[in-house]
Amino acid sequence: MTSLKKGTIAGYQLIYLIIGFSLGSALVFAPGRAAQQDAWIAIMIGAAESMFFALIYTALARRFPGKTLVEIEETVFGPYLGKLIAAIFLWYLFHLASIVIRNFTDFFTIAVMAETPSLVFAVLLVLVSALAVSYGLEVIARCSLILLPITVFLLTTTFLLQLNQFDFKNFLPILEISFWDLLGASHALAAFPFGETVIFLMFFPFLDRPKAGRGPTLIAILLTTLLLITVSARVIGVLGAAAGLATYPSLEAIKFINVPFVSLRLEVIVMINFLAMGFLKISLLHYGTVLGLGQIFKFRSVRPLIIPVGILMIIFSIINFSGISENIEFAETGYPIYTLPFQLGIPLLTLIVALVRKLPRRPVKC
Amino acid sequence: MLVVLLVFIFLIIALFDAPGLVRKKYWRELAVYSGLMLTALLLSILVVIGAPLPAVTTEITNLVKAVYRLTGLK
Repeated sequence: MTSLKKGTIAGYQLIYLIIGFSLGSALVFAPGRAAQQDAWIAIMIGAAESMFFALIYTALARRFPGKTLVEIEETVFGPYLGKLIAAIFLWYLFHLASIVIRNFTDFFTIAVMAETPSLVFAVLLVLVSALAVSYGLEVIARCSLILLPITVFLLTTTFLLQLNQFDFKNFLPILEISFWDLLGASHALAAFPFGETVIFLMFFPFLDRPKAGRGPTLIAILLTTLLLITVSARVIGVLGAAAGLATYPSLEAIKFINVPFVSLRLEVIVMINFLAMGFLKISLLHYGTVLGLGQIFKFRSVRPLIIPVGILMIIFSIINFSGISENIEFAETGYPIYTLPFQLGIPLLTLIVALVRKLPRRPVKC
Repeated sequence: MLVVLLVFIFLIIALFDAPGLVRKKYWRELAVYSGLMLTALLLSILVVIGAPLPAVTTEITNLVKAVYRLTGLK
């Protein structure tokens, strides 16, 4: 293990990290919005597709235990082509981080603090993320042990508090949209948030048993599916067709919670959840990018990369889009196709070439 | 004024990071660090002065839409 990969995490911590990472910004956007009232079906199909992706990721991790995707690419494709493919993959992590930061700042400037410049949120978030990255993956994993249970508790509580407002007719008619539209919505879900777990190809080597990543990954996808169905069901059950009109349907749905004799602003729950999971997601993307760059340039420490990469992420978050409508259009139209080469293409190609070249070669015994 | 403030902030950050790298003789790290910081500074200045930078992600959406049109998928 090189000095860049410091610390180990246990299998159960990987489950926490994957769930936290996948929930990330999916908590505020209604997952499967394109499938309307069939979003819960789209989530299940999308999860099934992403499990196929996960089998590819974990097959790679089992074949090259102790190696990150950057190191695997160099082993499989050689030092030059391998570095080039690794750099393309790192662009995805970097770009995704900048998009998540933008989602985050848009949410806070549109829905919470309209007078505060978005740069303030971006800088604060990246500073915290930089601090977490400088401490390493172990610390981020420990943070997830605290943050995820809080988020799941708040999600479950708000779901239960809104059960009496559910209009189950909102879920009907089932499968009204065309088969192809349903498949399109399911693939969009496989790309966001499930397929983004491709980033864990950078973190499987941190496992105390690097070959044992498959079980935790599949369990995490299953649990994330359940949680996303909860979020989606609440939005559809409470808002119905109006969910399609809201920029942040979860936030709109939660405004309907009515506790007798108490005046509560429960929107803060959505904000806490988004803050907690957004922090985990950005920290992991920040760490993945920095670690990968460090390995490409054969650094002895990732520390010098943390701040410059963080600043570049903030700048890209500003120049990514000119407005929220472009952001939503990208999420619905561009993202499911744009991510295919990163989430499926690179890992699958690497696995096939490794199989054909019979890599890694075992050392010849004399 | 904002540009001067920006350069000042970048200088402070560099003063925190760079001396350690020089002391440890981490020249490769220093070269990449300087390259990234200069890129970040240049882009920040362009953003602050309001230079028309391409909206990266919107361009990706346009590209995907063009692929859709060419293949007749949507």
